[in-house]
Amino acid sequence: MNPETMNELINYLIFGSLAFIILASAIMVITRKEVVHSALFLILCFFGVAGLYIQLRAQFLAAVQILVYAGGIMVLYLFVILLVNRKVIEETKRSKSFKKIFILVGLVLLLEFVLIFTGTVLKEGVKEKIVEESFNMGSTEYIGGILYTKFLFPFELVSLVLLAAMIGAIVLSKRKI
Amino acid sequence: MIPLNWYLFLSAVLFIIGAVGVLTRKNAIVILMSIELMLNSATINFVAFSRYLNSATGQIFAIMIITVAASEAAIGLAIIISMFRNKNSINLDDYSLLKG
Repeated sequence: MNPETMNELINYLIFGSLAFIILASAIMVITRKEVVHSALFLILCFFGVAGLYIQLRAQFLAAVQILVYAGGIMVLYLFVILLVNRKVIEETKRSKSFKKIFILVGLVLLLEFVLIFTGTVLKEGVKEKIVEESFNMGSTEYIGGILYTKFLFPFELVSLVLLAAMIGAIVLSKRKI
Repeated sequence: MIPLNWYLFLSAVLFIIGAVGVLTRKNAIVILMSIELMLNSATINFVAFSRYLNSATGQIFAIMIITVAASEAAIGLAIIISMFRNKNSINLDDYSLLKG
C-alpha cells in the first residue's frame, strides 16, 4: 500500500470515529434521565466537534471550541443544574404519546435533508478549490488578521450582543434590583 | 480527502438529534442543551465549507455563532433560574399559564 492511500485511509478512520463519538454522545444527551449525565455527554460531543475542526485545519476554532464551549458554557450549565435540579422530572403520560410523533417528525426532517443533498449538492457538486498547504488558513494569525480588518464591524456588533446578554443575565437572575 | 457531503450529512443528523431533543424533552435545561447541539451542527457546516471553498469567512462565522451561543446560554440559564424561583420547577409541563 503506498503512503497516499494509507493517508487517505487514516483520514477516513479519524472522521468515522469522530462522527461516531459526536452522534452517540448527542443521542445520549437527549435520552438520559439525569440532567448531569446529559451535560457530561454534551462535553464529550463538543470535544468530538473540536477534533473535527482540527481535521478541517481550523486549529484556532478547535481551541476556541474547547475553551469557550467545553470550558465556559458547560461550567455555567453544571452550576445551574446544581442550583436547580432536585429530582428527576417524571415524564407525564401525555408527553409519552407525543414522543413517537416527534420522533416521526425528526425522521421526516432527515428524509428531507437527504433528498435536498442528493438532489442538489451531490448531483452538481460543490466546486471544491482546496489549495494544499498554500497558507495556513486556520491559524490564529490569519484569523486575527481578517477579524480585525475585513470583519471589524461584525466583530463589534457581536461584542454588543455579549454586553446585552451580560446585562440581561444579571437583571434576570437578580432577586430585587 | 473526505468528501464535503460526509460533513453535511453528519451535521444534518446532529441537527435532527437536537431538534428531536427540543421536541421530546420536558426539562428546560436539556432543551437548552439540545439547542447547543443544533448550533454546533451549523458550525460544522460553516467550517467544512470554509475548508472546501478555501475561504476563512466560514471560520469567522463560526466564531460569531460560538459567541451568540454563549450569550444564549447565559440568558437561557438566567431565565431558568428565575422560573425555578417562581414555581419551584423546571418541568415545562408546569408552565401552562397561557393555556385557555
